Amino acid sequence: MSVHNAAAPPGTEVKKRKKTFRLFPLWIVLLCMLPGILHYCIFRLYPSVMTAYYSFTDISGVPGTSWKFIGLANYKEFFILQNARDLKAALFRTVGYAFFVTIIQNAIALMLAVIVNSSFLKGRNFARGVYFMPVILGSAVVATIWKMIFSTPTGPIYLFMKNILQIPSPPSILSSRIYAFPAVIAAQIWQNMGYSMVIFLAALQGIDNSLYESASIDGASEWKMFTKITVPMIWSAVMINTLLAIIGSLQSYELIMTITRGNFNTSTLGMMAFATAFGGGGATASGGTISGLRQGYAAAESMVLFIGVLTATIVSQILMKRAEVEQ
Amino acid sequence: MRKSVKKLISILCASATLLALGGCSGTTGGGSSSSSGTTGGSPTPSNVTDSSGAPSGKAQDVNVLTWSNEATVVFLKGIAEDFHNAHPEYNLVVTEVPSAEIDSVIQTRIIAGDIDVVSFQTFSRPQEEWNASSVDKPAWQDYIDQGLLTDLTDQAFIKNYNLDTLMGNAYKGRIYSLNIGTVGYGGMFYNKKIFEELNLKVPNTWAELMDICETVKNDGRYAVVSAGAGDQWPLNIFANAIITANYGEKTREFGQKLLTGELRHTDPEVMLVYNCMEQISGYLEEGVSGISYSDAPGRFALGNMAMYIDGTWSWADIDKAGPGFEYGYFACPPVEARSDGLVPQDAIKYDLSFSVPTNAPNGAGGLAFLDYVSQKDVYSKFINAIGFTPTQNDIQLENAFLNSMSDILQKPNLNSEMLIYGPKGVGEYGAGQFTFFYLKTLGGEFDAKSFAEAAEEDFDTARKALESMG
Repeated sequence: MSVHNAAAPPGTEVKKRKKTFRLFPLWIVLLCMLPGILHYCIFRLYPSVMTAYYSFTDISGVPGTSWKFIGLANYKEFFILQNARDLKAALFRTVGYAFFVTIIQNAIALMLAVIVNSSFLKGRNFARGVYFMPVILGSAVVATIWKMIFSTPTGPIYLFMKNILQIPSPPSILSSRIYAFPAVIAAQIWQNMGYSMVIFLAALQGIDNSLYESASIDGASEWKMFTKITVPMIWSAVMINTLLAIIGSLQSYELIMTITRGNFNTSTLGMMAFATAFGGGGATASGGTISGLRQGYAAAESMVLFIGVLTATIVSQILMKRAEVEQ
Repeated sequence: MRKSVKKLISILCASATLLALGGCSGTTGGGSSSSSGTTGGSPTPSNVTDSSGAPSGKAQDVNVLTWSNEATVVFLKGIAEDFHNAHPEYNLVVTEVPSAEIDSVIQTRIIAGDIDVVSFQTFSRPQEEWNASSVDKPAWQDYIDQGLLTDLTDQAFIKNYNLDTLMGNAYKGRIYSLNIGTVGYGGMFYNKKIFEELNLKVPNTWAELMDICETVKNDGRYAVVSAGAGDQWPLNIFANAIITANYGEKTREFGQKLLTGELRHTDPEVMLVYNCMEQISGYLEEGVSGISYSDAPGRFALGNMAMYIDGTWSWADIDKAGPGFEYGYFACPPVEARSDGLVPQDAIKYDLSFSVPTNAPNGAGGLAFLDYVSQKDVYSKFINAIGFTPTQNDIQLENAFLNSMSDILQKPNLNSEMLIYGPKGVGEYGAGQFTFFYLKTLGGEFDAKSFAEAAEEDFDTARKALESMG
């Protein structure tokens, strides 16, 4: 932030800066930052760099065992050895997962935020608490709840399809290669929409009421006020929520693992990397397992995921900023 | 700013940094020293004491990891006090995890070096010379090759067992896992009351089984066949049973030929399996693919279904859910009656094998535990409690259900699940060869023929990709 004042004589800006730094010299600032920087380097940067490095090795992950540099073999195995049809489907699923979670989660969260921000709603705080509750439940609990909801033949969804919709043989949602994936998406949205809602709510509460009053006097409709005042004023919150949803959904594996274990066409890149590293189904694009201890290969999968997340983040930010400028 | 203030700030920041890093290095250092103290050799009392640092005279924990099988877990927890009395220096601590998660938990616990005894199901599908280029090593083989499992071959307690049986689960002629028993899972339970009511007899051929299914279906009062298919494998084991029932001792050869391409999924010998799968799937209970495995034995014990696909190990769960409920077990019948005159024989696997990781914090305690459960009286109680077929000789089975199985266990074969491979990178239809869920009858997209074609196409694609990778 500039402290230059046009009316002030030349050299004042430098003088003011000097005054500021006299109170907190650079070396003290750096010293205070040191714990944070070291923490970041040791626990974030170093593991990330080493993951990239390990992706070119055959490291098993067992301490003390030998490993060697194998070049691009892990990446070749991922892109060439895997069945092309299934790899394409898995990548498509990963993108689809992120797309639907981001769009639907934010749309519902914004709607809920507007509702619980309304002055006419009684018990607003209770409603906010209820909507936020899934966030603090944790993936294991959320998975259990949704497994019960979709269970066959006693779950409410199954009974609804059977008794209300009169479907003679309702599908078993969580063991259907068609319906299991949307069901996991629904669980992910349900778990995280409260978090997005809180961010939207904070942004909504920051809007000056006089803007709405002025618009109302000018005869603007509710919809007009929403699109011309509310949305532009909370655009930064939209951008944050979009970013968080994209990154969170692309990396997500907990709900997939706990609800379907990657079976029934539900495995995404995040799940594949996890299952390869720690064993279990859903480690390959075809839904199978990776035998043995393959941390090097898991690292390669993680790098592919990282590049995907990075690309999606950059593209989404460019698009959002362009939309912001247009507004 | 005064110099003293500057100094104070500097000291505070430096202290905070050192504290943070000191805390980190303390944890890391402790972990690595513990692991290095025991890695690379068989556990002995001396190195265990060194690594644990426990004061002498205080009982050390022996941590045993197993999967959730009620009979096993209850028994192991039940012997904890007796084990402690026999070995006052040790406490037995049993950790159970869901069976679907056992492989990943074993992996993380062995790598972490914080478990004394791990339970494996079976050492199957090794990477060997003939298939080295087309399949990965299974995890158990990796553990042994990397020196992570203690060689038990020369332990005194091994002599208590039938060595021929134990060698069936050995690797390169050495025993790394103490197999407690074998289990049958090549057939299905049946409800004796319904069978009597409808005048049905245990089938000896596939056609007879289909007749039974048709009779129960026409009667209309009971579900014909069910399974805990929500977890997939509990139903797919019956596809493996069909293979083993029809190929018996030649099942290993069947698996090898499928992998190498000598035998194709569309060949009549393999189509027989797909056709049988399609036929039986037509009689499965409605909504079977949504029934979780944990609920399934209890549902069978309600008495509303004629047959229930599962492994023999579930007798304890069925008994618990329906005391007094009468049931039996028959092996999957072959298409043609056996030429040796025996009734259809069960398909088995080695089950519940205990291994001691070489980096176990209390490896000596782990070996003491294996020694304890190998004592004839303890073993006898164990095998009767869990209902497995014993691997020690001259064990008197008190369990009525197990005794009733003697006819189908005269000449059992290793289940095809242990012997059939998929090549690396194989597509989902090939990876899911002999998986019910791709069949139209279970909501999939294939009939028997098109499923076999899709599986073969995936096998072909994988073989070509492997060739291109060199």
